[in-house]
Amino acid sequence: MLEIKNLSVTVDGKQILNGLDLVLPTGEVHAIMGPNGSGKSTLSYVLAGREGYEVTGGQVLFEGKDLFAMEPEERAAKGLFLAFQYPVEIPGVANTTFLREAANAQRRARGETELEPLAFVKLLRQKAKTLQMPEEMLKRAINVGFSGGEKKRNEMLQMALLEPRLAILDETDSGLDIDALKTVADAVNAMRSKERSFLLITHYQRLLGYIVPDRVHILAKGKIQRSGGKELALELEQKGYAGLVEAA
Amino acid sequence: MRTAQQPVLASLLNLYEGQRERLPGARLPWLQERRRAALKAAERLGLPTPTTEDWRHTPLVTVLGKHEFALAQPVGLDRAPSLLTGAARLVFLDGQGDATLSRPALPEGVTALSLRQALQDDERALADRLSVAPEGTALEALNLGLFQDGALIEVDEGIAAPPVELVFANGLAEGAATSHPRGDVHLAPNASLTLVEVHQGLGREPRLLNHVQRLRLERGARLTHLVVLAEGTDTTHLAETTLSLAQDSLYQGLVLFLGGGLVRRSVTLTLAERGASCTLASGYLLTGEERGDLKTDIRHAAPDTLSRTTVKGALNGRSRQVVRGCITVEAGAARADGRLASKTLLLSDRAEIDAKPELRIFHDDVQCAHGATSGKLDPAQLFYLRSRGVPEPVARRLLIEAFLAELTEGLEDELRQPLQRLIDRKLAEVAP
Repeated sequence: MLEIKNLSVTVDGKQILNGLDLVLPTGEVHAIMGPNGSGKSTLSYVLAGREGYEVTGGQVLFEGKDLFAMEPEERAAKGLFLAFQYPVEIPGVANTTFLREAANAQRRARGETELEPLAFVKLLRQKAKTLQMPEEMLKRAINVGFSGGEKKRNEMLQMALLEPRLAILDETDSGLDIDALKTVADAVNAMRSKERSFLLITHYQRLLGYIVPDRVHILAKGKIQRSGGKELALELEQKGYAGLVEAA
Repeated sequence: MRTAQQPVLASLLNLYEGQRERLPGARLPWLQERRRAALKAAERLGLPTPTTEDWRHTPLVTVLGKHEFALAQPVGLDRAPSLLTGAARLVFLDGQGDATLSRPALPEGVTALSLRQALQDDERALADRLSVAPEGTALEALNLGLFQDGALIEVDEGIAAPPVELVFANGLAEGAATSHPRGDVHLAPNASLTLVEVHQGLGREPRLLNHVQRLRLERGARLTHLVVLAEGTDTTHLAETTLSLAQDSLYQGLVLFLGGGLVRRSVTLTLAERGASCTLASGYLLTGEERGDLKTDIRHAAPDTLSRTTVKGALNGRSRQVVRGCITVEAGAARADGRLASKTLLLSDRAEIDAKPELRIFHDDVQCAHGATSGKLDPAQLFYLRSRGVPEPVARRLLIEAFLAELTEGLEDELRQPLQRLIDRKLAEVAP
C-alpha cells in the first residue's frame, strides 16, 4: 500500500525527516510513535501534500505510484486520507456542502457516477449517526465553533464517508476524553479490512489500547529508530522515549 | 474657467445646446433656467482631478478623455436584463425610459414613473427635486443640465409596497455616448419598499453614465436597496447617491460591483433623527482591468443612531478597488454606534486595493470602529479542502463564495437566489 524509501524532508531549510524508511502493507494497521519534534506531523503533511515541505531525498510509492507526482486532491481521489491533528475551521462553507463536493469530486476523478443529492444526505446522516454526531453539526460551517472532540469526530465522519484505501491519523487521540477516544477507535475498527491500511501517528500508547496495531514504529530524529509488534508500545510506556531511542 | 484645462468638460457642456429641444421639460422655462445654471456651475467647479482628495486614485479626466461622447439616443431591445420575475419595473435603455419593456403597474399608494412622464403629468410637483444641492459637485450639476430621463418612486404613508425594479441596460447603440439619469425615491412615514437596481452593460460601446439619486426615508420607513453594477469594460459609471433618514427609519443597502471599466459610487447618508439606522454592504468581484470605487460618507446627526458598513472584495487580474469610508458623529449624537469593516481577497499579485477608513467624532458617548484588511486565500483552508479531494479551482471558489456569503445572508430567497446566480456567474470569471 505505502512504501517510504529513505525519505528526507526539510522545512524552511531545516532537516526534519532524515532518511525515513517504512513499509505499510495492504490491510495492516501500523502505529508511528515518537516524542515531540521527531517529525511525526511533517510525515503526515508531506504524505498528504501540504505546501512548504521540501522533499530533499527519497521516494514514496502509494499503491506502486509515485506519490509526490500527485496533487493533494489526486492523492485523495486515489484513496489517501489524512485526519488532521488540527482540523481547519472554514467559516461560510457548510459541512454538508463540503462533504458532498469532496465525495463527488473523488467519484468523478475515479470515473464513478456522482451521488444524487438525496442519496448523499441519507448516507451522510447514517454515517453521522454511527459516530454519534448530531445532525445539526452537518449544517454548520466546517469545524467552526466545534470543540476539540467534535473536530476529531468530524474528521472520522469524513473518513467514514470517503472510505479511503489508506487513512493516516495524525494524533487524532490528542485532547480527547475517554468517550471521544472510544468513538474514534470504534470508527477505525469498524473500517479495518483486508483492503484498507491505517497509519496511526500518536504520542501516547493510550489509543493503541483500543486500536490494536499490527506493527509499531518508533520515530525519532527524523527516522524510524525501532520497529516491532504491538508489545513495543508497552515497552515504550515503561522505558520512555529516551530509554528506547538511546537503546537503539 | 476649468474648460480650458478640461476639454472633456467643455465637450460635455456643449452637448446641451445641440440637444436642448429634445430634453424633457424643454417647454418649461424654470427647468431650462435650472439646467443652464447647473451647467454654469459645472463649468465653474470643474471635473474632479487626481488632486481632488476623494479622487486621488481615480483618474476620471484621463479615462473620459479617450472618447468624444454624444448624448445617448433612444434604442430598442427585445428583453430587459431583469433580476426579478413579475415585479413592477422601469426599464432604461442607454438611459432612456422604454415604455414597452417597463411594467409600472403598482397598487394604490405606490408610484413608479419615468421622470420624462412625470414632467408631463405634473411638472410643479418636481420643482423641489430638480435642483443641485448647495454642496453639489460638478458631476451632479452636469447631471441636472443634461438629464434625459430617470425614475421617480413614491410610497405613501403606511404602505408596504411590493418590490420595484429599475433596469438600466447600457452600451446598446453604436458610438461613444453619455447619459445622466436621475433617481428620486421617497418613502412616507412607515412605508416600506424593496428597490432593486440592475445596471447591465450589454455592448462594448464606450459609455459615460452619470447617475444622481436622492432617497428620503421618513419616520419609521424601511427601504431595502439592492444595486447590481455589471457594466461593460469601456464604461465609466458614476453615481452620487444622497440619503436622508428620519426617526426610526431603516435603510439596508447592498451594492455589488460585478464589472465595468470604472464604476464609482459615492454615498452620502445622513442619520438625521433619533433611532435611524442603516446597513451598507458592498461586494466587489472584479478581474481584468476593471475597477470599482466606493465612497461612503455616513453622518450620525442625532442620538441613538446606528450604522454598519461592510465591504468585501475579491480581486483578480489587474483589477482595482478603492474604498473611502467615513463615519462622522456630530455633536449631540449621543450613543451613536458606527462601524466600518473592509476586507479584500487579493487573488492576483497585480490586483490592488486602496482603503481609507476614517472616523470624525464630535461627541463623547459613542461607539465607533473601523478596520480594513486585505490578503490572500488562507493556504491552510485551501489545503484542507484539497486534501479531501476537492480540486483546487473548486476549493478556491468555495472559499471566495464563503467569504462573500455574509453580504447576501439576510436577504429573502426571492432576492438572494437571483443575486447568487449573478455572483456565481461572475465568480466563474474571477476565479476560473
